[in-house]
Amino acid sequence: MDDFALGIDVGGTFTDIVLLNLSTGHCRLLKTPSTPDDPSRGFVSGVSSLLEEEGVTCSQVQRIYHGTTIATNAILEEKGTDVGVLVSEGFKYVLEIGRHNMARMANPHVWVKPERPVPPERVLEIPERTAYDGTVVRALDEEAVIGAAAHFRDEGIASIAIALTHSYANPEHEQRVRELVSEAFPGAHLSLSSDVLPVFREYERTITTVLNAYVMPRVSYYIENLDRELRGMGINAPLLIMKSNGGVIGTDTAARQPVHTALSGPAAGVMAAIDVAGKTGVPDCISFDMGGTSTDVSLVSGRTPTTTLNAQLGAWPVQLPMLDIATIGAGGGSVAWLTAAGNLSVGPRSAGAAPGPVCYGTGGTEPTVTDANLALGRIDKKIAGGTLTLDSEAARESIRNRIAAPLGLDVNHAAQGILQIVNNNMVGAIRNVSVERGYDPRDFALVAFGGAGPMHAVAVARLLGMTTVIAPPNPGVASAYGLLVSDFKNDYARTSIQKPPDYDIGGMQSIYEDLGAEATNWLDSEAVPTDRQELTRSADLRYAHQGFEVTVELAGSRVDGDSLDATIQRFHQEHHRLFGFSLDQPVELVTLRVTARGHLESAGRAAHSPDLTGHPDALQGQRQVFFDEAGGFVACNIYLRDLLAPGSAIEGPAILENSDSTVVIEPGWRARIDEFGNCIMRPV
Amino acid sequence: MTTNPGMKRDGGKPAGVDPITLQLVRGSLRSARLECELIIERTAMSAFIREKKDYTVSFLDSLGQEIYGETLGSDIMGCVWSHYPPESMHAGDVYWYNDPYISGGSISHTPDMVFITPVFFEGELVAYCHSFAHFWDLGGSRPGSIGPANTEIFHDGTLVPPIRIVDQGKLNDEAYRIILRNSRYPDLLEGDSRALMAAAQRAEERMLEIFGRFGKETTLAAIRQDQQETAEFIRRKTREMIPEGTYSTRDYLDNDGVGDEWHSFRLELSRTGDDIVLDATGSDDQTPGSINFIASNGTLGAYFGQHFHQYDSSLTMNQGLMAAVDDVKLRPGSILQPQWPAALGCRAHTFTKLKNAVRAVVARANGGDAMAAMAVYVIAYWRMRDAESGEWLLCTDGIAVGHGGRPQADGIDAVYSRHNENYPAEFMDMEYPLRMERYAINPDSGGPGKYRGGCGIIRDVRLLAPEGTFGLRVENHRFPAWGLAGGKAGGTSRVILNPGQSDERDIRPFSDDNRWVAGDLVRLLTAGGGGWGDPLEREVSLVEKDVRGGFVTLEAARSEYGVVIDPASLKADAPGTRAFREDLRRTREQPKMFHRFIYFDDDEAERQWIETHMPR
Repeated sequence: MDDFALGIDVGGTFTDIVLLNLSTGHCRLLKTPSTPDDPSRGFVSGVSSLLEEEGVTCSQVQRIYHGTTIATNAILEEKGTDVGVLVSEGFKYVLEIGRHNMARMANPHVWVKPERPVPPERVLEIPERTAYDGTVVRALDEEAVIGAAAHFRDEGIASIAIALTHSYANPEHEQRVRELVSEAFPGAHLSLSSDVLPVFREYERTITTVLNAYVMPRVSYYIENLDRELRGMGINAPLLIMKSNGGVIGTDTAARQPVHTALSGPAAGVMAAIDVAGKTGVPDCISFDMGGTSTDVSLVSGRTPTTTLNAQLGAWPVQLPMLDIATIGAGGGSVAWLTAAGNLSVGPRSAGAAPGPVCYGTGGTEPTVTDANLALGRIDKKIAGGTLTLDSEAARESIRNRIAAPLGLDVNHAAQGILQIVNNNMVGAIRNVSVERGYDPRDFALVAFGGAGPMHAVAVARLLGMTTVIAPPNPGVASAYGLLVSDFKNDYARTSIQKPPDYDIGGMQSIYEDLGAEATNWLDSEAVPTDRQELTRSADLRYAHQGFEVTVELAGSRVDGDSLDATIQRFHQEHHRLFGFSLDQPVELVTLRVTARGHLESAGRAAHSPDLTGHPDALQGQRQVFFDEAGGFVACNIYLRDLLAPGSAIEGPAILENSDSTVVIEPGWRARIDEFGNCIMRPV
Repeated sequence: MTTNPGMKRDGGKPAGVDPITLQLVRGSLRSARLECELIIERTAMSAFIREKKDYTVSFLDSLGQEIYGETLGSDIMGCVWSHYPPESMHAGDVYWYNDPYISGGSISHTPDMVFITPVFFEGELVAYCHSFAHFWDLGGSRPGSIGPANTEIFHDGTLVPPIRIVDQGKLNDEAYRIILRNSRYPDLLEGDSRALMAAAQRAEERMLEIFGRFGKETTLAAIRQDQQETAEFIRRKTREMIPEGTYSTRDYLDNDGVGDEWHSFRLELSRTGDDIVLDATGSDDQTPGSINFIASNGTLGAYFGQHFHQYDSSLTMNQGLMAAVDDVKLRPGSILQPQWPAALGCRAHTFTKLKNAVRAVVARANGGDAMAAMAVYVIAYWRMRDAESGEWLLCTDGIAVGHGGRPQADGIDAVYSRHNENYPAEFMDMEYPLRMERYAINPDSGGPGKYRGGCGIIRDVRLLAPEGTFGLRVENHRFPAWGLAGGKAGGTSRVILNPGQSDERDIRPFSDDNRWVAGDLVRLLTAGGGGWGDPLEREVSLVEKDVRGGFVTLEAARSEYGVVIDPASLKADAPGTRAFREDLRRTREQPKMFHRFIYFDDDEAERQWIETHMPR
């Protein structure tokens, strides 16, 4: 009997499930409506019905990978729990003041400071102080801790974040606070900043720890519940949760550090893009995941995702290692509207699932990007395998009334304008993602997925001068595929300032050993066999007086004089690559990092199904589709994508359709289907 | 003087730009600017640029008028052209300057550097791009160049008149070396200037791409139309909100850093028919210290435009913002039009209050529909001798204040002037022999109002090195930010050495060369913004929330807001509050349009009070 793995990506509207046959590499998929009130319901019922459909028994399932938005939504929708915070004396307002900045382009006459997840009265100060080098300069006032714990207990605030100054350098005080609070308030959920994010910068560390506390009860309840239900079904395979760093962790780790799952879904999309591009022999790509309300863009260099330490969740900085994903507030459901001055704008407001685009006939009256695509013939009136019919006339009518007439344009040009404006915004975002990393997007392939990605990708690529666009076989469920190609991954870090000329080589080595031991313990606890464990060491370096750091991999597996010299050399090179200069100046080491990976055997997806060796019915006929380059509507070949044989070559303009998405091959571009079913598009 | 010929009024829409193309040109400019600013943020070296984010990239048309950006009102190109007329420019050139006097104030103090690239499309000079940032040190009297003790522009560091630093792609190394040689931190200056040049060059590339994508005529027409749309909106909105008449205001500066007396400037707006004229000739003489600000037609016009831009922030920030004002009158030799070689380093005190004054005259004209005054942002220069190396270190610390209450919302608590970030306490601790011991909200510093003024902060910094000095740029010590529409003034600022110790003493908030030794602690209490609207109309639940959070004390809740709160439960006593508020309404000083020391409608009333109670 074959072994299977399941990938389940729960989004706001749909739950995507992919069942992978680990022996043959074949996949089956299911798209089912999400159940936002209790996401585990849609998850569990979807899994049962897919297994049943495919005749797979629960015992054949070896692993379950899960991408979840529980933590993200709790943070973005401000639905976390009441949190109490303990800080060092003098820092009660660390959250309130933050980095005292407002958004760069904000107008100070109208900008309002976002409400913090915890009001100041729930932040209590503890007399104590540790210096930046870990020396205790003021003893911990234990009575104050006990009093604070009692206060939170009496107030019924059961999730407590503990974030003391410089705790990254010496966690003693935080650990003692944990003991005291646990005694005074048994059962409270505790989040320590020296566990969650033991690196310097008090606001960023504190808010990250607070967000962890904010989502902890909800996430741990969800995961426990899900785990129980799966066991109840008879599935005993481990449940693995996708982290924001593109790796998976077990349920215990996820429940303890839920804030690590904040970019769970989008990270899986990037992992899918790496896999797709890698199979076509492309090591450098930009993932372009365009969904209903937003688009996620991320850069991949040498098959490695780019990671950032400066991610933002809503209004909050979260300095955990996350895949560097830029989100643009524009997707298929984005609304086109006129500003007070009469200028056409698209997004960031989305019609979402309700009321939805006008063409869905579910009450939407404002034209969306999807309506524009439909009005121009770029999507068929019948979608989702013919189960849903879209109202093209209503879409055109709303574009005519709300956009075209006020602007003095005809409907087609107004619809085309909506698409052009969206694409233009994407161009800016993709450029910024590249510039930030010191790259030129023209050297990258664009991997397009999400329901709307492959419809817009060629137009976006053309504006950027990119010459390769890849659309995977089922772009609408790519993130769920991405889960299945992920490995175990966890990051460990500690700030330890090292200034020349007295680098403490022994001290650094012992920190790496500590972090390494923690990492190995974790891999063991996830039952990863030793020969599949991998630790990589890196460090954040900067020039003296610089305000931020560059992460480079440690040269060698131990710290000694030579490896330190070589690491500093790497820093100079990386600094030059990123910023265009390097300096003959003292270099400081700031934070030491260990990344633990546990490689999961991944069959990957096999070559395209053997039955799809060219089907006479792939060409479905022709439809009138509007292309600007063609000067209006032209007859355009429409193909059923699932019937296209590997090796097929298709000249644009042409459209490929399948149940979950539409690929638009613009005039002047040519597509080829590879043996994995990827559609690879290039200019003629 | 006319601000902006050809920009104001009708003029008719240029033909041939469809609305979609216009939006695409706008969108492309926006993302180009973001991209170029990202280059600065990523490649500049000094903390001022990287952490404090004091930089910008803008685009100008061939007449030097803003296409999109933030150096609004500045005549960036005028002084360049007088040395290098357009016909002498070539593709690949980069021009550089920081000279406030030669540029007529388009650069307002020496640390601000501008780098300009001309854009040649199909052989024609069609546009300019420029990058701008605040540099770390250019020599001058003390590390950081500008400071409270300076009395001549020469103290403020190296003056760079417009020079062609890159000539058709070739760096003018001779000039470059001279400028670098004059900085205490030449590496930072080199790193920062290279970042700025790279950004201006990328901006040029992106401009060329836009011209290539849409064609020259279409691009130029789109730019003109965009400027015109902003101009039309701003002009219409100002005329809607400012009836015919004359409206004046006066604001006061604590002192100029070297003397003790206060200084003031006066701004008068008159609208006759459709013409709006600003007159600042009633301002005091220029000061010996460094708070002089070279105002210009452009800057004042731009402050107006920026205020009205809030009513449709989708409009492009461009030359059109200057269309609000027809003429500006300034008096040479005054604090707003200082004569060479007055020091200009701390001109932010004056221009922050001038921005407030713009809103004050608008408020007088329309019955209070504007933001109340914000406090002047604070800078501390912590200097100390490192025990081990003996080296002198400088930490330039930008510190938050409170913004003004607004007709629709509270003032913003604890922000700098805009998008500038502070240094984390843990960064300062590890980077300098300092320990930050407190960083808190300064209670009751936000002016009482229906919409409370933003609170300032408290920052305690202890010196761990053997010795050092510190300079402070703290305003609003004597003259707080005024309140509006019945709202009251914000709290004042204060600086204390060793609070609570036997040697406790107040430090002059705007001063330099203050000595401190190991173990000394400096406490900064920064000012808040003015309140907006009658404090007795503030929702009781918001006052409760402010008390719980420590923004407002129990005493102030009672005396300023009339809200009676139980000290144990921190809940308001509703009937008690109703009665007490009614009582207060009868007995208190009756609210007027403005508040500072007293309620007043006319700036002359306030002036008389000040002359009597706080004579110069």
